[in-house]
Amino acid sequence: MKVRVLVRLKPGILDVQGTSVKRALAGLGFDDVTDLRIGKVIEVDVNAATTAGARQRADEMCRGAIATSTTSSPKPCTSPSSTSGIAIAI
Amino acid sequence: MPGSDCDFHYVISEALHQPVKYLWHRDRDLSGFDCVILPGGFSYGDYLRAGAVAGRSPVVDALPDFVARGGYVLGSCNGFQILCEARLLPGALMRNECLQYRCQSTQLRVENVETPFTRGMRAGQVLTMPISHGEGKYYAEPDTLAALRRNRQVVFRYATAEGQLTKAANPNGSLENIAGIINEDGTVLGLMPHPERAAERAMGGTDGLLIFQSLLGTLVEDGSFLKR
Repeated sequence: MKVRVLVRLKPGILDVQGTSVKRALAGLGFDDVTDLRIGKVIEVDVNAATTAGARQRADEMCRGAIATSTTSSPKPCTSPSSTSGIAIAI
Repeated sequence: MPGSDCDFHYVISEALHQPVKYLWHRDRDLSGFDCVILPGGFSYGDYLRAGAVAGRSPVVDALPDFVARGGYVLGSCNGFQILCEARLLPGALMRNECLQYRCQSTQLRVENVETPFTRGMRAGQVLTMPISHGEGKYYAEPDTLAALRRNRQVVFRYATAEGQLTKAANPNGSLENIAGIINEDGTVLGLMPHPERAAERAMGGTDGLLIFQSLLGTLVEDGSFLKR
């Protein structure tokens, strides 16, 4: 079962990469961007019998290695309708 | 670690004339060592996060037990990142606020001389050591920062040559100009600068040697040398 994990910086933490990209977009004429933050998507194929089981394993992976609680915080996300997987926003 | 590339072996062996041995990331047996050094570099290509994969390797897994049995740990640059990922030190190292990879000399003000790694220094002394990193901004949550201050765990801060903590002296945006910290027991030190690159006059300075000499003094005093 495919699990898509979104890892983002916690609100309030300065995202220097996002700031840099926002500035670059402004230089390209996209001056209507008020904020931009960059995260990363990690797709994990988990051998699980149920969605809940896959989500639990993904949660454990996130806490164990994929995300660090110092700079990111877990936040559940709804399943995308176009795939059979589930997504967890971290 | 795969990807580690900084040379502490030379300094320990040739500048300090002490026995030193390389360990591999899969080694778990740390018996017979007084100190484990996690060097700089790009372990595992900085994949996932700098230090993230190395921080979960067998040799790092063995460190808490090693420290509990009286061992010391020093992590420089990527080594500091690894220690934070392994939760042996609090906080995290993030992308430099300027977004530049900074390879330059820095001045560090010594904040705490009552540690095994700094007992040979003077309070407020300004040391010169190079840095070389793209992800060296020290970050910790407010309550963690408060605890670091309360427990005197901040050991080095980026400063001017006169010892002033200014924004200009801070090469990476680290909170409170923090360059190096210790754990609560004072047995684990992490710092972003490279003391091994300031250990001989030919390198441009010897301030980094003070860290190793301080630790040697501690080991002699606590009888570690007698146990060999």
